[in-house]
Amino acid sequence: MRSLKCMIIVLGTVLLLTAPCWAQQQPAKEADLIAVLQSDGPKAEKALACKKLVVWGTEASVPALAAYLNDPELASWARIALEAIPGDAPNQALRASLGQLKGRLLVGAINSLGVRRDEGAVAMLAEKLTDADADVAAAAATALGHIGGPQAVAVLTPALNTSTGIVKNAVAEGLLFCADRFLAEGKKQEAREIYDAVRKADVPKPRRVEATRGAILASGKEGLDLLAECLASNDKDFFAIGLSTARELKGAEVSKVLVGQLGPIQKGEEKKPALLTIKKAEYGAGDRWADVTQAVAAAVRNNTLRITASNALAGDPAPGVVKQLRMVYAIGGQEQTIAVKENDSVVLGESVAPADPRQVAILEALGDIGDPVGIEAIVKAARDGSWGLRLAAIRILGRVGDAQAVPVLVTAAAEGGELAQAAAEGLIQLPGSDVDAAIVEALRTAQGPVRVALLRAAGDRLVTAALPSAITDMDSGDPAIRLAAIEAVGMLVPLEQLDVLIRRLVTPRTPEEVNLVKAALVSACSRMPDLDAAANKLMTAWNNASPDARLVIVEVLGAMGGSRALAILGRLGKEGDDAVQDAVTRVLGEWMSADAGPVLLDLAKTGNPKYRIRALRGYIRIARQLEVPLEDRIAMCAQALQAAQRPEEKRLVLEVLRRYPTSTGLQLAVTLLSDAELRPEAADSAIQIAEKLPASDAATVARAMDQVIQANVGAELTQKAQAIRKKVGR
Amino acid sequence: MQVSKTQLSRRRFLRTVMLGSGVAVPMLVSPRAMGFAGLAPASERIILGAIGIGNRGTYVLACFLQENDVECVAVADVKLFRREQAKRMVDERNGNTNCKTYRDFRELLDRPDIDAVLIATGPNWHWLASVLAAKAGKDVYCEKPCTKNIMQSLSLAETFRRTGRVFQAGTQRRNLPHFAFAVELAQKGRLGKLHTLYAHPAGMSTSMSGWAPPEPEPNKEEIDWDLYLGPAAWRPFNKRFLDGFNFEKGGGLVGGGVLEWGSHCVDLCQWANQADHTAPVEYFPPENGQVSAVYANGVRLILRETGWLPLGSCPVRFEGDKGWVEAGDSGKLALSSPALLAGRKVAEIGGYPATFHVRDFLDCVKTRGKPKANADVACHSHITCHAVNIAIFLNRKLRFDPVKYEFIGDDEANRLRGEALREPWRV
Repeated sequence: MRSLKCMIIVLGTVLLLTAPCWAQQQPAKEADLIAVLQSDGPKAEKALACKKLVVWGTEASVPALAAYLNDPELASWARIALEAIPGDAPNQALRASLGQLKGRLLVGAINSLGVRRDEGAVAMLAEKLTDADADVAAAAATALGHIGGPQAVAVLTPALNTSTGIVKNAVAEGLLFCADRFLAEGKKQEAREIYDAVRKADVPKPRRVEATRGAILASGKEGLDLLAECLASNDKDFFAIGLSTARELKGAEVSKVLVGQLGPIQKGEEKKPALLTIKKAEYGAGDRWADVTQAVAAAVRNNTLRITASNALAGDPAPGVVKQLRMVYAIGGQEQTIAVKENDSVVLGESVAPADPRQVAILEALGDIGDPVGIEAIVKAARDGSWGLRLAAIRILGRVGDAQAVPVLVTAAAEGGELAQAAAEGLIQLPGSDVDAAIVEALRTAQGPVRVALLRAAGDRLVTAALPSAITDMDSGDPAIRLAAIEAVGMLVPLEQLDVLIRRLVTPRTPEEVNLVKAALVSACSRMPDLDAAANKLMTAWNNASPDARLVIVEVLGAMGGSRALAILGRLGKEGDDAVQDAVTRVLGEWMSADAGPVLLDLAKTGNPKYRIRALRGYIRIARQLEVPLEDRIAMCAQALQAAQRPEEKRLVLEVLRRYPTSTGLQLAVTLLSDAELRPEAADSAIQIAEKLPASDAATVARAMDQVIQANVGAELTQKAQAIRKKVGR
Repeated sequence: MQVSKTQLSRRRFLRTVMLGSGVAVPMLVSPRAMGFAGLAPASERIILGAIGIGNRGTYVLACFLQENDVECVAVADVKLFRREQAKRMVDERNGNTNCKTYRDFRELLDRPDIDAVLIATGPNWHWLASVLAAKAGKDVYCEKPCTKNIMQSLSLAETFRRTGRVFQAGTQRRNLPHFAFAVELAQKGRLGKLHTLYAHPAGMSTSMSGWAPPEPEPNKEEIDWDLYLGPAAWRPFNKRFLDGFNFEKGGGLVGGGVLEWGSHCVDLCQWANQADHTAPVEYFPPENGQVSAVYANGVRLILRETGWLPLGSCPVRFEGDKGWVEAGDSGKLALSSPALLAGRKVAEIGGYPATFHVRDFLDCVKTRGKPKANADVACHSHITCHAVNIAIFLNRKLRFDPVKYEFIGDDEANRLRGEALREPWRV
């Protein structure tokens, strides 16, 4: 009873029966649980006893449980155990109850026999199929379906014609359960007979749809005709089951059936739309903007963007401020800008006649199946279809295509709008090294937007064979190609050729290039196997770099990480000019490993006074957030307290100490009791820490609480400290 | 982050802000213009019904209503004030008063005009409502956790296979780019040989089901207690249980915390391990605040509350022998080396919006494709969570057969795979 008692919590006048004793469960004694069921105790206790008998009950519990099958309040609890206990005794008890129960309780007992798949109950359930209570009859049909086997089929089959309403529906479903089991056991003929009977019967459409799927699966090659019939159907439910069943079957034969139902692929008489392209989208306010270009571009549908400026785009980049969605976009090649206030919505672009949804759905199924027969059809649709169908096919190709898709995608990449974006994404996503080779080959001659798309794909796919082309293109006369080439070089360049980017940083062709070169350098440097060598190489540009370029170098060092970069930043944090020191303390404040701690502490103590607070806060951030052994974390707190001059930073340290309660931390917290401004927070922190420390720290807790009590911190905190003091004794 | 009614109502009425020169005119528009008047043609619309519209449901429904090819025509909730609140929201968007309300969701499912349903009841109802909806011929977007035990998980997958309906679990992180990128790193071997996956369960020891003293039962139209209990074992009315969110989560005796976030984080780990159609084969009891499991391919799954980088809630971490990646709800990634990014621009979408996930579902309703969190995927990630819960409950190592979906040589564990439904509910 011990574990049972620990589950019953008295909360004032509320008795809550829960299971709080996780991981300390002791096997309950079955006899004790039976005794609870047979007692005059509260129903709450009996309910929980039933739940525990799920695990620890045997046939010995069955009579006590079965006694509640006619109790509207506890029958459901009793059946939880009865369905779980092995052996025939629960079946016998449930069967015996069928003659005594009515209505819902009878339905419950029948349901349990079905779950237990009690073949011994088939005859009794067959009688219930004609029960005057339709719910009872329907439950019996479902239960017979779960039990399955020839006997159940024999009693359900005639009922398919004789029953009505919900019973007929349940009989059909019961038969389908039987057929599914036959099919799983390899008895295809038996299964098919049932499926055919149900799909031809006058039963609700969902049952006929399910039966049709079963008939296709059970019929082998003959089922393909039925599949084709579904795919040709004007009824959307039968069309849908055809598609999902095709996905289950897979293979070339099925793909041929799908292709056969695809219908003609032709461009039609469509008007060429003024294509909408999202160039850039940002959401935010002031100096806090999130780049939401991808999210907004993904929201363009059918050449139209309908979007609401809201946090749903990117979370909340600027809490408490009314934000904007600002976009640069092109319609028909004309570039425009727009700003949309938070919670306003915008509609851009003109819609294009959508593709035939049936064709799109068939292409999607062919894509999921992935057979070459289907891929060929998708490539054809991407090449020759209407604008909408091409778009759908190109998106599918990106997911499942191969090298044969590259020319189609390359063509589409030059066309602008969603089509170009989908094609560019497809070129990145297509699997296979033969795709890489096809991209390199296409780069030999491609120009304009196609070349841009190929360069981006080569970069994202890490196609190093494309590096010579990319380096050459860094000097292209076409700005779009130039920028795409810089991005690609960032992703592909090895250490030996890093100078290509460094030189461009020192002497950019346009001011707009600088940020792109920075991103490319971050990409390149952080990818190098030897980070220290990359950092050294980057610093070779320092002397010739402009002040702005030096700041970029600092940011690249910060983003790439590594011990050499950290050492350089530590030196620049002291020796650099004011702007460099500003940048260094910013990037170190976001360093993602704890090794920046000593550098930041040094800057906090002996660096430029203007940036000491920022450095100290960066140091405390490491203590609070990053992976550091507990002992070191508390030692960092001690160091931070020594370096802190202002209460604000000392408060941050107290927060760390509260977050990681230790006896050493407690001692640190009480040292701040001597600071009048921080005294209440120090006392509160000490109390919070003390409450979480184990008994082994009792002596330290006692001393600390004595200090809090003596510190005159007000009645409430003093009382709390006294309570802890009393608890730990000494 | 939720789109509240008041936020929606603040949107301004149609106004033109900029005239283009010979190109389409961009317009800032009101919800009404974005709503019914701006809806796609009837032939392209998905007719939606919403079931169980509380706090979470209101947010997800708002995500649906942002899409111009969705027309919501009905809401169902056992609570009168919630169905009226949801109706107001839908009517305001639609610009009419046509949204029907139902106390009993089965009446909503009986409507042949409804194509798809959003199910955002408490977890007690998720599985059964989803299965009944599929059997009624509806496609389903269902909030998580989707099931209360292993048998329900299998039933979910089997039902959607048999009916051919589209299912999307409300595990929206599957459609957020930074989580997807983290998974891609793991799947493509960029982290080397994958060896450990970390998931944040948000509590491994809580359960809120139970039995409280009886209170006067409200009028059935106001709160239908019997329907609220649904498949859960009977207990007297007590308003403490009415939050829905925690009621019977994970099945009461076994479950709770691991399911709450595990259905997200464990799901992402399964995806990273290319284990969407299986589950770990060994489960270990809690030790030092961690629970672990091992997949057949040797990869270890660790559920832990602490030790996470500051990347926001619901974090995951994937470790291989050449690197690691960690991601959380801030939208940001942490990488063992920036080289793993290789110049890729991964969109940072913080705040775990469901908009992309909802769109994925709607697209699949039209194309009959499989959404990212389809029934098979949800089935197996939930099975993993349930098996972890059983290991916690029994406090011992368990071995699991992910083909038969049975614990090996442990009858007690196997008894916890399912649970009887209260009468008259069945599937």
